[in-house]
Amino acid sequence: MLRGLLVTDFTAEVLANYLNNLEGLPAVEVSAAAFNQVMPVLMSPGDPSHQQKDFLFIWTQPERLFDAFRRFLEFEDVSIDEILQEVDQFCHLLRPWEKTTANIFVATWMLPPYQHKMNILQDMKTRHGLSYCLMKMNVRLVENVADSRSIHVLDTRVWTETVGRNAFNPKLWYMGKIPFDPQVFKEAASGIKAALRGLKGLSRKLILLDLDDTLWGGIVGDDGWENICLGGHDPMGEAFVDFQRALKSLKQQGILLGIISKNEESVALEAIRRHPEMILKEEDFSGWKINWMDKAQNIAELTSELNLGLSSVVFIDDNPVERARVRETLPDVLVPDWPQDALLSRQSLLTLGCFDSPNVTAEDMNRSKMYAQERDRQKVMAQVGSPEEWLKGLDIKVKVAPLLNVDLARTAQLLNKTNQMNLTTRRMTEGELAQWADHPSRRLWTFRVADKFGDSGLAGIASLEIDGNIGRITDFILSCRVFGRKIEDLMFFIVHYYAKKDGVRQLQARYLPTPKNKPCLEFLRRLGLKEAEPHIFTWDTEQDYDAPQQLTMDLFDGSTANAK
Amino acid sequence: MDEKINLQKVLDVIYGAIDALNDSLPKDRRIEKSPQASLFDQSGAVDSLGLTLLIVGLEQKIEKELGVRVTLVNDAVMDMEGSPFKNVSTLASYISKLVAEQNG
Repeated sequence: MLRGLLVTDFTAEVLANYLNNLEGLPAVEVSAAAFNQVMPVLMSPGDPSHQQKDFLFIWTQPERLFDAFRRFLEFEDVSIDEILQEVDQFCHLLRPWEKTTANIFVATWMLPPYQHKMNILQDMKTRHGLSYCLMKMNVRLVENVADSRSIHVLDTRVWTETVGRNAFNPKLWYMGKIPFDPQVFKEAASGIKAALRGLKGLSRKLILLDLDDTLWGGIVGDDGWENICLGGHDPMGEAFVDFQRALKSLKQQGILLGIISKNEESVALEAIRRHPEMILKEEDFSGWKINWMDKAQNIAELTSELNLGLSSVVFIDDNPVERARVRETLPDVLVPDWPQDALLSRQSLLTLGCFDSPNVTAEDMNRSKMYAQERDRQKVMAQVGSPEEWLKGLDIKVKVAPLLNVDLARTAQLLNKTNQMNLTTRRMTEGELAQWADHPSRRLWTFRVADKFGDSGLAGIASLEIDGNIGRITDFILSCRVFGRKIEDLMFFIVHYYAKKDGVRQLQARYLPTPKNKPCLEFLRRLGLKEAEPHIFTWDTEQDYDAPQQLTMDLFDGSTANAK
Repeated sequence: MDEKINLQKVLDVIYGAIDALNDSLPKDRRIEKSPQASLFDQSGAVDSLGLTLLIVGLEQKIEKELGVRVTLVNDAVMDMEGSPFKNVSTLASYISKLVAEQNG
C-alpha cells in the first residue's frame, strides 16, 4: 500500500476519493493536506504529519500560487522574469522533500481556455501573452527539477484535453472550490496510478500481437502477402502502418513485441519479410508462436521462453472469442477490448496506460536485439558438446562497478523488474535506492555483461550492509537473460572478496520467498552456503570462494581477477 | 408530454447523476438509486461537497438529456420551506416543476 499526500489550493477530496477507489496495482491510500495550505505544507517537510508518505502530489493554480502571475493576469505591468523568479522559489521549496519522500509529483499550471480567449491576439505575445507566460513557467519548472530523481512533472493538459469542453466548470469553483470537472480528477487519478506503476516496476513489458486484422488488414493465408491491407493510399492501410509505428516506438522504449497467430508460420513470416510497407521487421519481435494451437497455451509458452511472468503481458487480438479465451485461461494477462475499426487501433494502444517508465535506458533500446543474440547463443549451445565448453566459447566479460550516478536509472529498473534471480525482491525508486546506497556502511555493485554475441548491458546487482564483522547481503539480483552462465557465481565471489576487505568475517543472506524467485534459492543451495535455519544462509569469509574460470572480470579498483 | 413519463425521465436523469457522483465518493458513502433514497437531510447521506457535485452534474445532464437549461440553486430554493434536496423523490418533483416551467 502506497501512502500519498495531496497538496492543492482547491478542494482535493474528489481526487483523493478517485485515487483511493481505483482498483489495480499499486494500491494507494491518499489524504489531502489542509485546504489552501500549499506554502505552509511545502515549507515543513519535516512535519510529523507528512512523514512516511510514499508520494506527494502538488497541484496548484498559477494565479493563486504566484502573486506576480495574479498581477500579470490583471494586466499589471509585471515582467515574466519576475514570475519566473517566483517559480524558482517554489521549486526551491520542493528540494528538501526529496530527502523524505520517494516520489514528488507536480502538475503543470494551466488556465481554463476561456481565459485565453479574452485576447487571442495577445495570448502568444512575449510581453503580455498568457499562453506564452504559462509555457515559460512550466518549462522553468521542468528545467529546475530536471536533475531530480524524485520529482516528476505531470502535464495537466493531458487530463483536461481528454475530458474536453466540460473540463472546467466555473460553478464548481464558486460553489465548492473545485476548479475542474470530476472527470478531470478521474483522469488525473489514472495518470498518477500509471506513473506509480512505472516507478515501482509494475508496468507491462511484453505485447503479444495477433497478425490478421490486427497488425495488418485481411487474411494473409487467403489473400497472400501482396494483398494484405497495409499502407498505400488507403485510410485503413495507413492506420495499420501508424499502429505498427506506435508499436515500434514502444519497442524502442524497451517493451518487447511477440506474435501469437493462427497461421502457417512460413506464410506469415514471408509477409513480415517481404511486404514493403511493414514497419515492424522480423528482428523487432523477440519471439513468436505462429501455428494452429490454442493461443492461451502459446502465450504461456512464449512468455516462459522469454523469462517473463504473465503479469508482464498485454495480448492484442481483433477476435473477441480469442480474447475471451485468454482472459479466462490467463487472468494475469492484460487483454484489452480491441476496436473492430482499425482506424482506432493506434489510439487504443497508446491509451492503455500500462507502459509507463521513468527512464529509457540503453538496455531498453537494445532489448529486442539482446533476445535475438540469445537465440544465436542457444543455437551454438545446441552445437557444442558440454555447457562448460559452451561457456568458454562465449568469451564472457563482466565489468564490476560501484553504483554510479549514470547507472542509477538502469539499476533501479533492474531492481524493480527482476523476479526470478532476486534474493529479497525489494522494490525501490531511484531516489530511494540512491539514498539507501549512500550510507557509509553499505556497498552496492553493478555487473555489466558482454560476450562475443553482444552486450547485455547492466544485468546484475549485489549489495551488502556491514554491521561490525557481519555482512548482510541485501540484494542479489541477476537478469534472467544472463542467468545460468556463472555470472551469479562471479557476483558471489565479488561480494565475498570486498566483504573480506571490509573486515567482514561472516556473510549472511536471508532469502525471502516469492512465487517467482525459487531460482535464487536453488542457486544459494548449489553454492554450498550453510543453511542453519530454512532460508537463512551464511558463509564464513575465512573460507575462500574461487572466481569462475570461464569468465573475465574487469574490476573498478584494478584488483586482479584471480583474487580470492 | 405525459406527466408520469416525464417524472420517470427525470428520475433516470437523477440516477445518471448519482452514478457519476458515486464514482467519486468513498465506497462506503455511496448513494442508493431509489425515490426514497436520502440526499441532503439529517441522515447526512450527502455532504455539502457531494451536494455541489450532484447539483452541477444534474444541471449538465438536464441540459443534455432533457434539452432544458435550469439553475437548481437560487434564492427561491433558499426561501422554500422544505428543501428539494431532501431525497430523490423531492428532487425529482422539483426538477419536473422547473422543466415544466421552462417548457412553458
